[in-house]
Amino acid sequence: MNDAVEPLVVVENLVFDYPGRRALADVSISVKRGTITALVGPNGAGKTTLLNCIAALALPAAGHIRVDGIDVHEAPREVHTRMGYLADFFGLYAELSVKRCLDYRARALGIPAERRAGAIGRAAERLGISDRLRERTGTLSRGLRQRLAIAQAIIHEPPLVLLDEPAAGLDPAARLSLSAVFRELQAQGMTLVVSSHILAELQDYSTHMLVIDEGRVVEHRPVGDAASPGGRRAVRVRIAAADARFAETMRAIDPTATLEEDGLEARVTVPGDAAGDAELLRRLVEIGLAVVEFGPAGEGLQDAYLALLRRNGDAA
Amino acid sequence: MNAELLRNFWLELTPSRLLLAPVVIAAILLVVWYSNDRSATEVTLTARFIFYVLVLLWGTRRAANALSDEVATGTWDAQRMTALGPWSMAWGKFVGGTIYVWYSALLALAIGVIMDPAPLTALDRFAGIFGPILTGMAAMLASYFVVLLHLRRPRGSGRRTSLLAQLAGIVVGLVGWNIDVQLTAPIEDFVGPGSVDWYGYAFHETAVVLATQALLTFWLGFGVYRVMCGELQKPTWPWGWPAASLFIIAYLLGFMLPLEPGRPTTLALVPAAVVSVVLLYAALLGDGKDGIKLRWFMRSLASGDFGRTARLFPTWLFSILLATVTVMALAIVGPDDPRTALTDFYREFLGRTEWNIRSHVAWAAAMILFMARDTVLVLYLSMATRTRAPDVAAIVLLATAYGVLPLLLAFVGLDWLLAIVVPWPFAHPAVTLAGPFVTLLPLLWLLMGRWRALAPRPA
Repeated sequence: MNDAVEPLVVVENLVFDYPGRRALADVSISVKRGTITALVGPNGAGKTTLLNCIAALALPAAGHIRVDGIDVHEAPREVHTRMGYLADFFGLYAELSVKRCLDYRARALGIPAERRAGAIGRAAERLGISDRLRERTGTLSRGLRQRLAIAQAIIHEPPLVLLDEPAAGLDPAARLSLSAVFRELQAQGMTLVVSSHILAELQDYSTHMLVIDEGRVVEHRPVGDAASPGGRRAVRVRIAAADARFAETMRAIDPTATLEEDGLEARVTVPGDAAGDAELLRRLVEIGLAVVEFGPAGEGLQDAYLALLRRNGDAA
Repeated sequence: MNAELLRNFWLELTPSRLLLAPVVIAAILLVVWYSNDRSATEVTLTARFIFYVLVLLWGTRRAANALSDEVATGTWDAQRMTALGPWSMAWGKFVGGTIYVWYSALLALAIGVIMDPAPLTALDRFAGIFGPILTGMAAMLASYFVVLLHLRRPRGSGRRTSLLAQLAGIVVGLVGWNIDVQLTAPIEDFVGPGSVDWYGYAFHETAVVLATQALLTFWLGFGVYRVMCGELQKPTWPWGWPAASLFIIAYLLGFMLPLEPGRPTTLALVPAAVVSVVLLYAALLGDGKDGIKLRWFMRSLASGDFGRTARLFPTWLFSILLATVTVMALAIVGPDDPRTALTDFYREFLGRTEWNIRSHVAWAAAMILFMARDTVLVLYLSMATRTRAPDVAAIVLLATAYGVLPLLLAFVGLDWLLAIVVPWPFAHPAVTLAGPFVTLLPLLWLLMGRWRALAPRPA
């Protein structure tokens, strides 16, 4: 298997129903290795149902899911050794110490005795709870409980981690710290799928956006600085003084380019590689415009999501 | 070591608790010893009583809570995400969750066995130890099993489920306790065991009782394992319930076969039909009856996805087929032999003699129709979105239909209407057959309405 090419998660034609309602309608997606996918959508869109199906916690009406090449509904135990899952409403054993909670999870995931202590230490270290190992879980704050739950989910260092509303109920500082944890997990080679309503927080670390609405995949694409499907991306250009040629040039490059009212700043879509950027900059400088800022437009997840909802609303 | 077992050890077996149980039990037994003129018999009886109280009241509660607490506190999904297989999860949770009860109860039982002054045979002594242990295991497994069965329902598990599960365990335990007391009664009160014939072989009564308890425990454990497979999404083929059903029928038939010369073959079919009908109602109440899953089952079957079909196979579907086959067999074999056991049944139990072969066949057909009607009724209630306890509603309605209404009709002299509410062989065959249709057809219409309402609407 070629890890660089083969997606880690492949979902094919997934169907799931609730009484009188189709929660997932022929959902097909693939999640690349080493990415962080923000799973977003309105309440009741099917996000948690999709995560439950990928985690082999629920058998769908139809369709197949493979994680690391294994059919999750044929070999759920095997898949669970390659996957961590933090459910929306998770529980912890309040009477056990943090260390025993991690020890239990390590044993339950089949980590051999000789590797167990190391796995507990690394998970605690990653989540910053090494100094709490002797404390009873029931005495921990909400943020620390969240960290412990994530530590339990990743103790076996799985290639895939599913997180359903991981930052719910956390204060801003704890959220920020959680974002750093997710980026670190990604840097260590894990693939994350994170469902959350807090788009600003997802924006900090997501590489991809998967939008689900009414059980259907509305969009699944890279976000932020990464190129969108078709290899194009947004660039923001600012000049020192207003000049009519600025608008003409930008619209010549991209007819949908948008300009600020003062005529000093514009957003334009260019081919998503360095050559595209260089070509745009060369043309602006050649006509004598004083370019003071040039860079990615940095389309936020929230912007993208809202734009998508607007588009869908218009289409409807 | 099994991770689930170890986790329970951490929670249950603290040094203070380990010390507390023997101290309390010893204190109670010492009081009994001194207040009964140092009677070893009284100590034995009290120790055994403590054992049963612990396993029946506390053990069944712990067995039920071993799972329902996990669901309530939100740790169950995390457990399902581990690499623990169904067998490890099932026994680790069962033994682990009840380990302190076993520790306490076995201490009491050990004292009871050691102090027992009765001159028992080796087999009786064996029964005195393993009978109570099997009773305790069966009672706790029954509680555990009921909670697991409830997890498969759309409404899941809750406090009421735990209570219901505990009651089921207590009922199983009380039956076992009664049998154990018979087997271990003091020698002067004991009638003495006889032999029991099973498929023509004679067995010691005590051995048969112990074997029956062991088999009940085995099948309950097997049921727990199979339902746990479903909970952990392990792919299985639906042979568990059919195997258990056929085993129960074959095991019970062993006490009747071989038939004495001249006895009709129907005699063997009667218990087979009765047991298969009872098993149908057990399956109907035990099955998840999730309307959505039933729709998926039909969809998988239609699309040829037999792996998914097998996983979604409703247990009651096999049972209704089995019950139909055995009742039909009774109808077919019965007319061939006018001296069937049913003659005795009709005459002795119902006090009637005016039956004939046509009414017998019509009665069997009506019985199948009534089973179909009851299946439709249970499914209809289960597919309601608002009914909080559809099974309780079904039990109440069925008890009214088969218990209260016939008595009421008989009381007011409307016997001729009995065929409408129960399978009744003494009406005209047309009336016997028309009876179940009167309720089956409207119920079927109502069920179709709910079935259609379950269909996913386009977004």
